[in-house]
This record gives sequence, structure tokens and C-alpha cells, in this order.
Amino acid sequence: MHTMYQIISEQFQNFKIIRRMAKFGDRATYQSHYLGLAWEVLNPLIQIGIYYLVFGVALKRGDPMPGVPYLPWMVVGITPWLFMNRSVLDASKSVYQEVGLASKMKFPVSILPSIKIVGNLTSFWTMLGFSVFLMLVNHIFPTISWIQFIYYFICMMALLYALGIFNSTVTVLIRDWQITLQSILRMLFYMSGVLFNFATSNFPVILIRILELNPFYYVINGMRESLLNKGWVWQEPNLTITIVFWMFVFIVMIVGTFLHNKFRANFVDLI
Amino acid sequence: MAEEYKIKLKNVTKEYDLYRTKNEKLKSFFNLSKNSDVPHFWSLKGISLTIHKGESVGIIGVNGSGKSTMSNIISGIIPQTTGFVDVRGDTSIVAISAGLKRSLTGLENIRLKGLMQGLTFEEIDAVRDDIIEFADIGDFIDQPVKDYSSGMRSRLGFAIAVHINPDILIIDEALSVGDDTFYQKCLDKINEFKTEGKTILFVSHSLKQVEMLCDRTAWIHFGDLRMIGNTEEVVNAYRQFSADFKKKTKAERSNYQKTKKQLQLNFDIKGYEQKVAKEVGQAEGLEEHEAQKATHKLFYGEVLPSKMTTASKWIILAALIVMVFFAFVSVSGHSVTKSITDPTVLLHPVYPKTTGTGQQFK
Repeated sequence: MHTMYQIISEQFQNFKIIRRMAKFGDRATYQSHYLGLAWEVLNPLIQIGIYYLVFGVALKRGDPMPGVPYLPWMVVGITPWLFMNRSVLDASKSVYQEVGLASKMKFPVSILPSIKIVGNLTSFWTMLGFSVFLMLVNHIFPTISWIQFIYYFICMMALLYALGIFNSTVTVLIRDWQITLQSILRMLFYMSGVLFNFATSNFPVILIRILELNPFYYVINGMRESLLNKGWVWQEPNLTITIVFWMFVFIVMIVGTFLHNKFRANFVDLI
Repeated sequence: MAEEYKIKLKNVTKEYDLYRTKNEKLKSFFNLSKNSDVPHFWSLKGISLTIHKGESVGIIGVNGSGKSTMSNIISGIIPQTTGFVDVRGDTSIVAISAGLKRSLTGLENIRLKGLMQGLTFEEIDAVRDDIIEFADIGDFIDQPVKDYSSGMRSRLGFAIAVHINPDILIIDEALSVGDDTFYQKCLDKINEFKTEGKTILFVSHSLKQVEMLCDRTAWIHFGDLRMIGNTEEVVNAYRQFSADFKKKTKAERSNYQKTKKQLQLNFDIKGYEQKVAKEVGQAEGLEEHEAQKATHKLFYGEVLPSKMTTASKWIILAALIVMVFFAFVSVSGHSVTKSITDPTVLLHPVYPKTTGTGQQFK
């Protein structure tokens, strides 16, 4: 418990370092590219284009939520998904990649996952701006329900950090975990309702309810509901799922921070 | 009474687990508590020392005696296993493998290291030119560090470390790579540091360098602090020891090393704690159990536990139960109150009257 508090407070104490290093990382990654930071936006746009053609046009199946066209619905969901997908993968590699550097100086290793998460935020905000633009074009206007977005954003960050600190430690100990994680995320992509709304599909009810427990789905669906004005956190079944979500985050966080602390000193020897 | 010191170590020990195979490593990872079959090696067996402001202290000792472990603990890179460590001020450590990122250029490395030490972009730009000049690597500054020679790398590492303005500079054998000109430059810089009243910790095998730079010297010997005092005194004692050691036969030498290493393997932390408790009790006239309590606090008060506490385990278990319960509630479709009063309903999910096709929208 104490370890968890300590590591979480390290994130806030070192917030400035996190932000600066994220900025530096963004610049360094795209330095050798001619289009530079434009790739952060271009890449997801191309992906969205493909998914729209396949799922929106070719396999046309009507509006996923009543009164919401497919394109804004899909983009609002895929924005957090692409961000979470990349952040989980980047964060899981973070300690493994940087430990040689961090081990020779006084540096809080526990902020390495946060740096990756914050670094990916740039493209998240750009994509979100694009989603809002698409919504306005489709006559979906801001309402009071948008306030919930802040809550879901906090949920997303908590989930990402919990997974980040856990995965980054496990990846150092077991290299295979990184590949496993990639496969799991690929599978979750189809199970988190990013491209089609399984709640309105012909899936068996039990299966839908099980899929709803997925924490990624909770964040994606929550952001969709808040931005598209379709529901509230305290409505059922959201409330029970909220408890499941936070318990999941809590358990991953406490185990992750514990493992991180236990192996922090040995990271260099373990690689 | 506030004691004036920069660095204080009290009964610091450091233990390493010696995993022989990947399998053992995994076992200790999944078995969240400590694994007792794995051999432990005590790199430090209880070291206490105090370093005051403006002192430069040399640390000498044979290979593998724990010098680097100690300097790493002081600089906060690795945590101690037990004991009390208090370092007042920012530390900067210079080591041979300078901790540069090989794919980035020298300039980018300066930025990165600066950021990692908590400097802002502006502060880094302010000292950038000084670093480049001090490191004296010319146009190579825009080349990736992987193309540098080892001398250039260590020069850059040293230059960065001294320019990010630490209160406490720890030099871990870093001066042995540079040539004479650079060595002289470093000495000047170190002397400048000394006149500014900064604290320097100098780990080295070169007794000459230690004699030149340090006011006091500590001799670490197989995990123990064998001697600390005036540089001259300690260095002479160390010279004497080395000379005696060289005179011995090969068998005697390896025998001596083996016994010392064996002591480090068999070090009994509980016994050591009791011994310290007794000393504390006698020195301060405390009751036995009070002394024991104080010692235990001294040993473990600052250390984050490497074992999960029972309380944490219960909390995790409780969280797990809550999570599974609500997951079942959600899947079964019953209300929470009904599920609490009659948990068996969780196994009989209810279905909405109309299934499928878009009717379950809120």
C-alpha cells in the first residue's frame, strides 16, 4: 500500500520532468523523418480511412447508436483506442529500453511509463479535435454530458499507468510478455467495440455483458457516451461496471508498484 | 541539535540475490515473498560514515569490495537493504560507462541527461556551450555517440555531470580513461568544486589521485568499513596491506579471498541487528527491548518492504472479491441488492424480454 502511494506521488512530484522528457521524446522520434510530427496525425487518419471503407461502407449495417452516423461514432471510439493501444505497448517497453541510461544517475525509474503515456497525448488531442470536428459536421453539438469526458480521461490515465508500471516490470523479467501483450491488444481491438457496436449486434446477451467488463471498453464506451450525449456514468449497467473497472485498476496498480519496487534495484542486472 | 552533514550512512547493508538460472529468477518473481534457496551475497555488511559539507572523501579498496555499491546507494541509484541513508543535496555520479544513449548525438545526450536531472530547456541551453567546450570533442558533438571513442564518451559523460551543478559529485573510477590534458582539466574542475564548498566522493584504485584530491579516505574491505581517517594514514595502511598481500603465496591469497567471500555469503543480518542493538543499548543506557526496537526502526524504517505485507495481501484479496462479485452481478443482470441478499441468483442470469436488435439502448 505504502509503496503504491510512494510511486504514485513520484509521478506528481516529477511531473515537470515527465512533460519535458515527453516533449523531447516526440522530437527525437520524428527527427529523421521529412514529415516530422505530421506522422502523428497522418498515421491514424490513414487507419481510420481504411476502417471506414471496410466497416462503414463495404459492410454497411446502419447507425451503431440511434441517431449517430457511423463515421463520428467510430472516430470518437478509435481515438482513445489508438492512444491506449500505443501507450500500453510503449509503456511496457519503457523500462527495458531506458534502464541503461537511467541506471547511471539519480532518476526515478517509475516515471518512465508515464513519459511514454504523456508523449502519446499529443496525437490523442489532435485526433480528439478531429473527432469533434466530425461531430459538429454531423450536427452533434456539445451538451452538459461532455463533463463526463474529464472523468473518463482520468479513468484512462489511471488504467494506462497501472498497466504501464505492471507491464514494464514484467517485460524486464520475461521478455515474451511484450509479444503476448501485442496479441492480447490485437484481440481486444475487436472486443472493445471500437469498430462495431456489439451491444446492438446479434451477440448473445451473456457474451455482450461479459465483453462489457473489459476495462478498455469501459473507457471507450464512456468517452463515446459522454461526447455523443448518450448516457451517464451512474446509470446501470455503468455503475456496476465502474466498480469492476476501478477494482481492476487498483489490483493491477498495487501489484505493479510492488513488483516495480521489488525489482527496481535489479533492473540493470536482469537485462 | 541539528548536526551539520551532507551524507550520513548508518549501518547500511546491501544484499544481492544470486540467481543461478532464469528459472530461479522466475520463481522469485511469481512467489511474491522471498525465496530462501537462492544464495544471497552481502555486498555491504553494515557501513556507518558521515561526510560533512565541503569535504572530499576518497574511497579505496580491492576489486569487488563494495565501493561502487556504496557510491550507488549514496547517489540514490539503488536502495539499501537495511540501514539509514540521508543525503542532503543533489548528487551527480560520473562512472566509466557514462550512461549515454548511443543512438542519439552528443548534443541530444546533453539535453536528455539535463532533462533527466530536472533542468529546463533554458537551463540546458545556458550550460550547453560550456559542456561542449569542456568535453572538447569538436564537431563530433553532432554525431551519434556510438561513433565516439571511449575517451570521448567518458569526457562527455564527465563534462555533463559536472555542469549540471550538483552539490555532491561522485566520481566512480571515471578519470582513468582520459589522457593527461583531460585529467588535468578534471583536477582543475574538482578543485574548483572544492573551493566552492561542494562535497566530492572519489572512488578510485589510483592511490596517487586519492592522495592528491582527498582530505579523508575510507577503506572498504569486503563489505566492511575497515578504516576511515586522514588520507595519508589510510593510504599508507592500504599500501602496507597490498604489499603484505603480494608477498603471500598464490594459495594463501586465493584462500584469503575465498574466506572473505564466504563471510559475505553467510552474513547473518539478524545477528548483526542484535549486535547493533546491544551496542546501542549500552551506549545510551536503554532497556534491552527498547534498544532492539530502536535498532529495528533504524534498520528498516526507511526501506520500502520487499515483501508484501499481510495487510496489503488482504486488501488485494478483498478488492479481487469485490471485483468478481460485481462482475457476476453485471453479467447476471440482477440488481445489486438482490445479489447481496441471495447470491445464488448470480448463477441464473436474467435476460431482457427482447433480445438482440438494438432494443437494449439506454
